[in-house]
Amino acid sequence: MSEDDILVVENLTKNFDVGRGQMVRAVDDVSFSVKRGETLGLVGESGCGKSTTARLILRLIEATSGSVMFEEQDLLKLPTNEMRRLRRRAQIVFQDPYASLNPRMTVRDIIGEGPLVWGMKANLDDRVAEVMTRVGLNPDWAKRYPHEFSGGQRQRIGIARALALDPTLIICDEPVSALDVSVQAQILNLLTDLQDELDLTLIFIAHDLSVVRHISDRVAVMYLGRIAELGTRDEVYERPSHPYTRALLSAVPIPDPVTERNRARTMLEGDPPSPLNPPSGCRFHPRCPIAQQVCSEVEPVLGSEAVGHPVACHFAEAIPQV
Amino acid sequence: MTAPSRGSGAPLIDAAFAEPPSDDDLPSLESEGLAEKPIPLWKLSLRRFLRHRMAVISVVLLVIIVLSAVFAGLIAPYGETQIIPGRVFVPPGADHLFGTDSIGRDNFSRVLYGGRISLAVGVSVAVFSGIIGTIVGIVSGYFGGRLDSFLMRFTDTALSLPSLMVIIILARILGRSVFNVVAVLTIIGWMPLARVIRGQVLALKEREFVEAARALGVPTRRVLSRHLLPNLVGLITVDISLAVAVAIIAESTLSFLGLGVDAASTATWGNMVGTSEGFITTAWWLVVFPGAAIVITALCANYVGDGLRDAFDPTLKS
Repeated sequence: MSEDDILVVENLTKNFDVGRGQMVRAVDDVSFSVKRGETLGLVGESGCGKSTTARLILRLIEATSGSVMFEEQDLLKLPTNEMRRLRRRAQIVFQDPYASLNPRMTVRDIIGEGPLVWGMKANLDDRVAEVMTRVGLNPDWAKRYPHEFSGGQRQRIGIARALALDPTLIICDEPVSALDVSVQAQILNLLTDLQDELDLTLIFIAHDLSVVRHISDRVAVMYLGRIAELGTRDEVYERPSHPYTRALLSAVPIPDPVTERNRARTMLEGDPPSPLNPPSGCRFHPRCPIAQQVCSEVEPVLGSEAVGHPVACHFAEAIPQV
Repeated sequence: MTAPSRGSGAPLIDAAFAEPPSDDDLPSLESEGLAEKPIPLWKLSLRRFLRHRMAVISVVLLVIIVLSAVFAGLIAPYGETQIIPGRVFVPPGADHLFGTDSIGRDNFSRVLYGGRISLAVGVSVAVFSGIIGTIVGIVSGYFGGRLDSFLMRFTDTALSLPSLMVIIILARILGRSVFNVVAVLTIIGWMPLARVIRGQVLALKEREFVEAARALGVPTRRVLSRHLLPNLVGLITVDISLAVAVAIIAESTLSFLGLGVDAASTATWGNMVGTSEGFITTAWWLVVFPGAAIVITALCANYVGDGLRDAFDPTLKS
């Protein structure tokens, strides 16, 4: 663990028992670290384990094995009451701005609940007004209910709730994917502004590569519960070395019809396989355009020898760069 | 207020970020369309309830029924057990609105007094089984695991017993009194609600606002009382109002069978019907009036329940 790492996740694994003796490995041996003040983007298709990873880190779901070092403590080993104390330092912003706010509580009660349960009774209203202003909400709206707000405003309420406890780390679980494009940009800019002002560390989960590119310092690409590629934003976007990353990037539309029409595409066929019964060897091999015999037999490890940043592919160095 | 699309957003193109919106582009605090005055949730619910005509009529009728039972002492022309000499089996008329019975008691007065017990039993049973069902349902649904398995198997077992048989046996063991009738009906009445609540809690606890509360470090007891319970209030209220109807009918059944409240000392609608069923051909009024009271009250309680269900259902917007 290097000194400026705020969070180090090692070998994090979660098996869900789905009955009849079957297990789903939703998250399989995932390791990464996050430096203080940076934004780590976590991308992948639906069902690849991004959101589960977020919930495992915060122990909203209990992990099967692995460790999560946060501020020099292994969260997964902490007894419940000590874990509760650390929750103030690590918060989460959710995807669905409708499901994430209690419809029967006022905005004041939603945002103020964290400070309230942590004993800030005296200046609660001031504190709520302060964070509301910070996220661009009018403090006069504190007495209103969530149903009166638009999606973007609700997401601001969700962010304010997370900020109210002065956390150092905020995990954003697809915070903009339920919003209109114009509102997405507002929320993303709000998050980056807050990060600068409050010295926040962000883990930003999304399935939208453009959003992640815009906001991240480093990016981890997940496929079927494992990390396929991990690097700085430029490494991943300029020199994608896992065929899966390349396929994802080639699916991002380019806002120029001529370029868009003429560029070469790596099309992915089929859906991701069921995590109930993942493919042998490399999990990506049934959909991989460059798969060979070895790919179905040997599982590649996440190594950085080939291209300078960690990639889990047998043929990472062989991939032609554009 | 415009609702944004809730689907997963279309892929953002980089161009959207080429020029990050300046602060001026952000909606100014005042301009973004919030209604002038906040509309409290209860007001929206009330509006929806008032649109349910049968429910509103039922509320009015129930209020009349409850008031006339509560103020029976003022309204009733005769006492509950007062025997009027020489007035046996008088048919309904000007002197005796609902007629008189085999020993000369005024049937109208007895229906009013009987309503006290029937309504009290109905409401208490509904409330007590509502409380038990809610607690069992929340605990079972939220904590899950073995506790859940145990509570639900227990509930399943209790539900699969033939209820009339259990009522009769319990009533025999406990003896005849108003309190015991309430106890018996509560013991067999809480299970359906417990299962409904459990199902709802299973769905609610996966909602992100419950996860958010846990992530904030909100103690479990507060999660249950502040996040789960308020979102179950609609369900519980509806169930209680429907349970009132069921309990009134169950009380009548018990009393009709002679296992409820003792007819000699206290009138209830059920035991009034029970003790006079032999006179149905000769003095129909002794069966019809208390019987009608049972049916009308139960019907009204059901309509109110329906109205409340509509009022609390958030999927039926405005």
